[in-house]
Amino acid sequence: MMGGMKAAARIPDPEPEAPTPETFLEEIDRIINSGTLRGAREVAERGLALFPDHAELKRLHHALRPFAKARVAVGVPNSFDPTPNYDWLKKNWSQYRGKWVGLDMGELVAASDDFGEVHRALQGRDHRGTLIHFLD
Amino acid sequence: MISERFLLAQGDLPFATGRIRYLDNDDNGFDIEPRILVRVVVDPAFEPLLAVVDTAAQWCVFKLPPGASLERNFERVQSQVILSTRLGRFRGDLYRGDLTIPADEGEPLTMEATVFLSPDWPGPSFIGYPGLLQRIRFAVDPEENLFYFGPL
Repeated sequence: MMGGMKAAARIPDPEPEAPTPETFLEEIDRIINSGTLRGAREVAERGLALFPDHAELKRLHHALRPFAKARVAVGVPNSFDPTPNYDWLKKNWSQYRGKWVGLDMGELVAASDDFGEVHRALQGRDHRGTLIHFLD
Repeated sequence: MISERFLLAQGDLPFATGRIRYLDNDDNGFDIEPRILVRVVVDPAFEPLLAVVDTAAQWCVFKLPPGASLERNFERVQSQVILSTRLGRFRGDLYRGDLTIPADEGEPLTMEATVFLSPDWPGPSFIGYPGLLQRIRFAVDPEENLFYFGPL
């Protein structure tokens, strides 16, 4: 018999909820709180395709841009090796207990109960080689 | 220029362009086992931070000295981020910006980092793998306490 059977009734899929900017912002938040940035920028991009003027999506899309390559910082002065100052502290701490000491490249410049006095004694020296420490 | 004896050629680029002596521990009582503590310049107006190299850390986590701030040189990525650690869960803000590893020999290296900052963070500062280390070459000489670094 032709045409005698009715098609089985289909249950329509529930209407997917229309995304809002918050849908994308919440997804980005979820990604970041899971401990990664991976995929977060793509979510911002999808959000911007629908809401191109949304300020927070635009800000996040920029803030999540790919990282620049590391670069040699030519012209930035090198650090000084702090080891001589630390070695001095290990060797001499018991003699100066209760005092502030000011060191420069492993040499004692000043020792005092007064922090300001030690600080003044180091003025004019290259700060990268100096250390002020209270020995308790 | 850095002495060639510790530069391992890698194509046209040397493996390392700088090196810095690191510490095994700090004086804050955090360390039971030896660690790798490297100085990093976050804010040029302040002394470098001493940060633990931790390849398992998601982000860099900084404990800034009083008065220091990331607002000047860093850009906020997200507020109210949760960081789960063995010290507990902490709420803070995530930033990105440049920091520099100074060199004892060779040249300093500047790179972008992702930094988590929470006023409640009780631990030391960390530099993490996805947050920073995966964007540079690095190597460690435990015999001499030297941390080697260079751009990719």
